[in-house]
Amino acid sequence: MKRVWAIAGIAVRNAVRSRVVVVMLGLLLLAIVGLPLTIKSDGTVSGEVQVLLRYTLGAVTILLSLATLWAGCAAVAMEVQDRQIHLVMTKPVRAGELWLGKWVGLMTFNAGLLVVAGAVTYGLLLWNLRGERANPQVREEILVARRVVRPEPSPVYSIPPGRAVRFTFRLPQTPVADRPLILRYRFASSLTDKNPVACVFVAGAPARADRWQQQQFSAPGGVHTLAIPPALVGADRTLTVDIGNIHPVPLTMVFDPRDGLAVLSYAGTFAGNFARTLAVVWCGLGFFAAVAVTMGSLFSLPVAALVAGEVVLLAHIGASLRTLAGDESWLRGVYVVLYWLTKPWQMPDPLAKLATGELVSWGWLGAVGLWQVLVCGGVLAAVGTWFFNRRELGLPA
Amino acid sequence: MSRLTPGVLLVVAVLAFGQVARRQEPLVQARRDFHIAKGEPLENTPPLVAFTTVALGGFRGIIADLLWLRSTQLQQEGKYFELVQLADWITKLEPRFAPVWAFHGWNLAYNVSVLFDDPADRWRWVRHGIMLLRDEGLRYNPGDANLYRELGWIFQNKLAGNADQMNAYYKRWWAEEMATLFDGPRPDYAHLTPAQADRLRTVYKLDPVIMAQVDQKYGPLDWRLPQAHAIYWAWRGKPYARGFEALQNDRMIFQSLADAALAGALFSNPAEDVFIPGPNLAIFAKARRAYEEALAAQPDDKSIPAAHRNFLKTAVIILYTHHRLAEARDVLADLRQRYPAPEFECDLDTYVYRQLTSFLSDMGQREALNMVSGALQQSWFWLAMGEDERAQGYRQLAQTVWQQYMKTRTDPEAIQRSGLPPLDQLSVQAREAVRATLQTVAARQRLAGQTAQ
Repeated sequence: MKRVWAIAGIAVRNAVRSRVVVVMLGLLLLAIVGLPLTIKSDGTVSGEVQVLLRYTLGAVTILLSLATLWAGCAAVAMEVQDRQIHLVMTKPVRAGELWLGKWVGLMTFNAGLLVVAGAVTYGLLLWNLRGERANPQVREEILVARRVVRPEPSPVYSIPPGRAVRFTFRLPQTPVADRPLILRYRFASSLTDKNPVACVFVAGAPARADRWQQQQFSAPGGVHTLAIPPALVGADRTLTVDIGNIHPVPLTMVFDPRDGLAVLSYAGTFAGNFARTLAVVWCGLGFFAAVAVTMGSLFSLPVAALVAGEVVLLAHIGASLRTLAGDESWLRGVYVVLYWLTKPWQMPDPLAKLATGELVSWGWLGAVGLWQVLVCGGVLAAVGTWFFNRRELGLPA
Repeated sequence: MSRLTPGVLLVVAVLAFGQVARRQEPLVQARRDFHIAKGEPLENTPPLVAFTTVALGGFRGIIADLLWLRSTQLQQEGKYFELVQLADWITKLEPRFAPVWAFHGWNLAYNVSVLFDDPADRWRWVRHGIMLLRDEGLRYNPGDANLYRELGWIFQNKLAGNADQMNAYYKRWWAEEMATLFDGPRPDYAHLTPAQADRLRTVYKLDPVIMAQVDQKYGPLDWRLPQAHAIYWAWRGKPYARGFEALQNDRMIFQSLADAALAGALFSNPAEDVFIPGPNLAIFAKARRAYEEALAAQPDDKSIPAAHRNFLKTAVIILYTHHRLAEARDVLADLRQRYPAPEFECDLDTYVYRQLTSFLSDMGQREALNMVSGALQQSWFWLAMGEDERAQGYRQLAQTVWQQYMKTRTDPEAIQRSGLPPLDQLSVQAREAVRATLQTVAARQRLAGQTAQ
């Protein structure tokens, strides 16, 4: 392990000496400060905050991803090209240790930059929300970590005219007393017009005398929220919600079983969520670093950079391929195959959760770390080491 | 290669560049003459647009596709906060492709806006759609008639029409914005301050010179209401419209003009919190003329005569309720002549009574009483607001309904069973009801100054 740390230390020192750190810091700060000034939000404070989180941290991720790819590919490939590798490989250092040392160096470099970028973004966010701008809506919907709980599978997700349908939500933990539960819902209407539909929500166990009731006029297709008192959750952590269709013009309300209904319950602070989000981003960078170092171990720098870039691009657009896979064109088969091929290493998107106030849980962070860093990174390390051991380094120029 | 060859090639290249430069201006002029959208060279292009249109080359399409995919996905997931920026990027990647602007303007103003329950949220998205087309789309495509029509359509349909439940809110907000630009229904074109003219031009892209031209041809329009803006943008697109586009443009103008005649003058009294778009009687004649021109220009079009007939029918009622009896008789005579039908073969009072009561096969006492009381309250309300002509029209309507209803009830027994109270008595009650709703001393004083009619 000592040799790994030594190689990592040299990689970090090289980065500092070659002013890569300074340049990257400059670029990151430029992106963090400059982007919010140029990006258009929807005109609301909450929209501005969401854009700030999504785009600044997104830009940070992209910049660090590109830097990681290039530096990772160059870490081994350039040393081979410049024959500096001979100085290392003639010492008692195994190929695996070299691979790991380079990877650890890159990840140390990424961790430092990510911490600085995260701190500046967080400070900018607080500065942006000074005074009256930190309105209750922003505090309760975005600057929070809320767990998303879907209803238990129901035989029906459509509500005919004049009828009501019951949905049951099982919360993983007892809700915090002073934080309302948020019922998020979205439905389609059987009428073609988009005028708001009259519906009624009744929450609480059916036997309770103090059931909570609220009538709403909600536009079909839109995302709507409703605050429900947490006291209505039963001792078994179950929340029952009856939704009645009381629209005067007969129509049917249809909820999408996947995301038509959800209860959002308070699960932690925004600061914690922010830190976990950065950790998930760091794990993603760990995967990129593994790809890049492996490609650098296999190929020359241009080829390695091209292949690594291709892999990372596929990892990023993998989720979009699902949309294309639903298309009826003759290319559908290609998209389906690509989607399933890229699925194991598709990149998680914690920023979308952070920007909408959804919980980035420790469990998810652990799963991402385990899969992206340990499993995928481990496989890539094994492949990189195996090929590097068989690579002829002493070729004549 | 001889030593002279590079020099010769350089001279040939310079000559070729010179020739290209010489041909450039006539070529642009020819595009301008043929009203080709891309004829006008882009001026003062933001660096980002210049960069994306030149540097990215053919890759622009791929990036636009990816952004479009993301935009669609976010919209489907109900995440709207990025849509304005994505629409901006997609359109800037293809700034001279007008249908992309048209789609995104319409998407924001129509598809996204209706997903919200709160009128303020809806209005924000309608404005995003307007701003995308007006401030950006037309900047890059100044010769695209379709884009002018798309912008006009948002004013004509989304704001002026009633398809959207929140249309009254949009109208009110738009009127409040316009009220910050000028006092009254239109700018005083001759005495606009440089600051006012600049704000009209730069923020709202309204050229006061063209506004005055539009007003002269179709007005006086009330520029606080959206119909005037629909006409303005259709008018701006007129020089570029060809074939079917020209027909669509003309339709937008005469339809909006007819709408402005029926509901294109704003009665606003902030102290009383009154905001009522009403008929613009001053442009009735021009709206009629616009229909007549359209009928003459499109003799085979079946929809125009139907629209014209409906317009005239509504015009009779409106002129009547505004005490413009001579004009109302003239319109009724026109209806009789152009669209012969038994319903028009009667005198004005009878026609109005029949039109207003046509929804009731047999008007009962309660309905008649409600209608008379309602018309009387309208009459007192408009008197309190200082609109004497309109007040007199409603008074006339109440009197007609009362007389027509009582005409069939002559014997005392029928009067006692199903008759109406005397009109004067109903009028006093109506005045008291209106007085209770007034908020300002001035309005109450105006009402107190009037005796029971």
